[in-house]
Amino acid sequence: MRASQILNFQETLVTSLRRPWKPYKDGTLFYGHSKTGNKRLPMTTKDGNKNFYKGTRSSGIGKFDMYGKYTINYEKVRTFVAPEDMDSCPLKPLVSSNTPIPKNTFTGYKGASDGKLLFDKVKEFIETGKVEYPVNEKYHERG
Amino acid sequence: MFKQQISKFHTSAVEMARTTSRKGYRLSPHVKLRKPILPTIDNITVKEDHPLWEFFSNGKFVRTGQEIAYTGRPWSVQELRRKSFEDLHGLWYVCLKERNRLYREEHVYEQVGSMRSNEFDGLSEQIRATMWRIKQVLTERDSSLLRAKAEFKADGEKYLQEFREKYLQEEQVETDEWFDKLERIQYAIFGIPDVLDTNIKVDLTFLKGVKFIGELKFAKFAEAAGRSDLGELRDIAEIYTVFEESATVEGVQNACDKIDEYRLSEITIPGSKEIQVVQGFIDDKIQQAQSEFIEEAENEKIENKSI
Amino acid sequence: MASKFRNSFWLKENQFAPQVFLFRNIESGQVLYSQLPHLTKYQIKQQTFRPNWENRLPSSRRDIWRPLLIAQFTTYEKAIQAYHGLVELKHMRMNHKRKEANLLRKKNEYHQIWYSGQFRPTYIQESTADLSLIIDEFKLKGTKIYWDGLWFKGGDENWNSDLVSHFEIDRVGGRERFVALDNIVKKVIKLKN
Repeated sequence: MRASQILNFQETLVTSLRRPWKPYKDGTLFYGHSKTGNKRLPMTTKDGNKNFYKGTRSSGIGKFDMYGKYTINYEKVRTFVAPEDMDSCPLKPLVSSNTPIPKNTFTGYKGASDGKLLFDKVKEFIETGKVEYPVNEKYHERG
Repeated sequence: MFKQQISKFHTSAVEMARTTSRKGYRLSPHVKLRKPILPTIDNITVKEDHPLWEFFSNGKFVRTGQEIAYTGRPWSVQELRRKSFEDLHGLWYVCLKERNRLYREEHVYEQVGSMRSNEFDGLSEQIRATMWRIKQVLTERDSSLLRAKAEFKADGEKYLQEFREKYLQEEQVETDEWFDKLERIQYAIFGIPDVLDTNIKVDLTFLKGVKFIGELKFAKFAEAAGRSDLGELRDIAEIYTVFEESATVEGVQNACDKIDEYRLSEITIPGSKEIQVVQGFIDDKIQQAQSEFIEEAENEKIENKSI
Repeated sequence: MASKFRNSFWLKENQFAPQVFLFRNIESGQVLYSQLPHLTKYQIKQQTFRPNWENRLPSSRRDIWRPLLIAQFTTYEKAIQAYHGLVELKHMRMNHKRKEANLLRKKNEYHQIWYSGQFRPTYIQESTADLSLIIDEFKLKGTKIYWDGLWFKGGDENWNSDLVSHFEIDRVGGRERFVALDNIVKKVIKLKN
C-alpha cells in the first residue's frame, strides 16, 4: 500500500465535512495543529488556535446581544422530563437475585433489533391482539 | 453633612432624656449587658414534603452498611425487554434518585475516612448496570423500529394484499374478531387510533390507511348492500365516508346513500387536496362532538337548576 | 431616605411603620440598625465606634447586607426609643462596657474573638441579646419580631413571652430580600388604615 493511499483515506465527503481543514490567508489552519502525522488526537480545550472553542457542553444556551446582555434560548436549555407521577412507579432499582432470568431466543432472526422480528410481531399483534408474558411454558420469548 | 447629623443624634437623645419628664426613656448607664444569644437548630422545622428529602433514605442522615447490604442483582436486559416505555422511564428515575442518595452517603463516609464508602459505591455501580441496560433496550427498540420500517417498505404491500384477500374470502366478517383485527391493522400499520382526538395530524400514511380500509369495506360489502351500480369509489371524500362507517352491510349502505347525495354535486377532489380534505373532515367531526358534549352539559345544568 | 435620623412624625408622615430593621453583614457578621427598610452610609458612620481589626468599618455594599430581623412596635415613640436604645447599647459595648462585653464573648485559643475567615458570629448574637434586653428594660409590650430564619432567635428562655411574639419572614425570592421587607411595611400600613 502506498503512503498516499493512507493519506487519501480521510478525503471522503464526510470526513472533509467533519474536519474542515480550511487554511486562512496567513496559512494557519481553521483549528488544530496539523492535518497530518500522528498528533491527530482528540483536542483539549487548550489546543487549537484562536478560533477553536471546545466548551464543556454546559454553556452556549443563548446569545449576547449588541448591548452585551445575554438572552437565553430555551430551545437549547437542557430539560429533564421526569415521569408525571413518580410515586406510582412500583419498580425498584434492583431485583431479587433469586428471580430466574428469562431466556430470549432469536432463531430465524439476526437478533433483538432485527427489523423482520418487529414486523412479524406486528403481524402477530394484528392477528391475536396484545400478548401478555408468559403465554405458556413452551413459549419462546423473543424480546 | 454626616457629622452634623451624627452629633444631632447624640444631642437629641441626651436632650430628650433631660427635657422629657418621663422616667426611663433612656437606658441606664449601669444596665447589665446580656450574654450573646446562641442560635439554635431547635427553632427550625423542616417540612415533611421538602424536596431535598429526596436525597435522604427515609429521612435518615446516613444508612449503615447493613441497611444497604441487599441480596439483589441488577435488572437483566431480558426482563427489561418486557417492560413498557412508561415503566422504563419510571425505573430510570427511581435508579437515578437512589444513586443520588448513595453518592451523598458515600461522600459523608469518605469525608471521615471510612472504608464503608466503598460499599455504597459498589451498590451504586450495580444500579448503574440497570441504567445502561435500560438504555440498551431503548436503543434496540429504536433500531428495530427503523429496520422494521425498511422491511415494511419492501414487504408491506404484499402483506396488505394478503390481508385484503383473506378478508374478502372470509364468509362471515361481521364478527368482533374481525372488527378488532381491522382496528388493530389500522392502528399498527397506519397509526390511526380507534378514537380520534384533537392532536391528530393527517399525513400520507394516514391517508393510505383511510384508502386501504375504505376500499376494503366497499369491496366486501358493495354487492351485499346491492350498490354495485356505484362502480368504483371516485375520490377521497367517498372513500372517507365508507371508512367512517362500521364494517357491516348496513354501514356501507349508509355510506352509499351519502355518496349518492355527494355525486349530485359533481365535485371531485384532486390528489393534491386529499390531506386537507381529510383533516377538514376530522376537525369537523371533533368540533361537532365537542359542541354536543357542551350542549349536554348545559342541559344537565338547567335540569339540575329546575330541580 | 434612611440617610439621617428620622423622628416619629416623619415616619408617620411618610407612611413607614413603627419598626426597627436589623441587617447582618454576611461577610463579617456585623449588624447595623436602621429605622427604614434600607441601609445607607449614615448607619455605618453612626453605629461604628472605634473600629479595629476585629470590628472593621463595614462596606456599604448592598449585596452583603441581609436582613436579620424586623422588630415591630405598637407606637412610633416606642420604635424610636428602641432604636436609640440599640445604638446606645452598641456604643456601650464598644466603649465604657468594652471589657464587660468582651468577657461574654466566645474566644479562640489566642483569646481573640472567635472567627472563621472574616466572619465573627458574636456580633449577631450580641445584637439579638441587646434587643431582648431593650424590650424587657422598656417593657415594650406587643412587640412582634419577624425573623429571617428562626435560627437566630435562639432559645425561648431569652425572650419574655408576655412582651414579644415571633414570626418568620416568608422564604420566597431569596435573592432580593429588600422586597420582602417592603412587603411587610406595606402590610402593616394597610392594617393600620
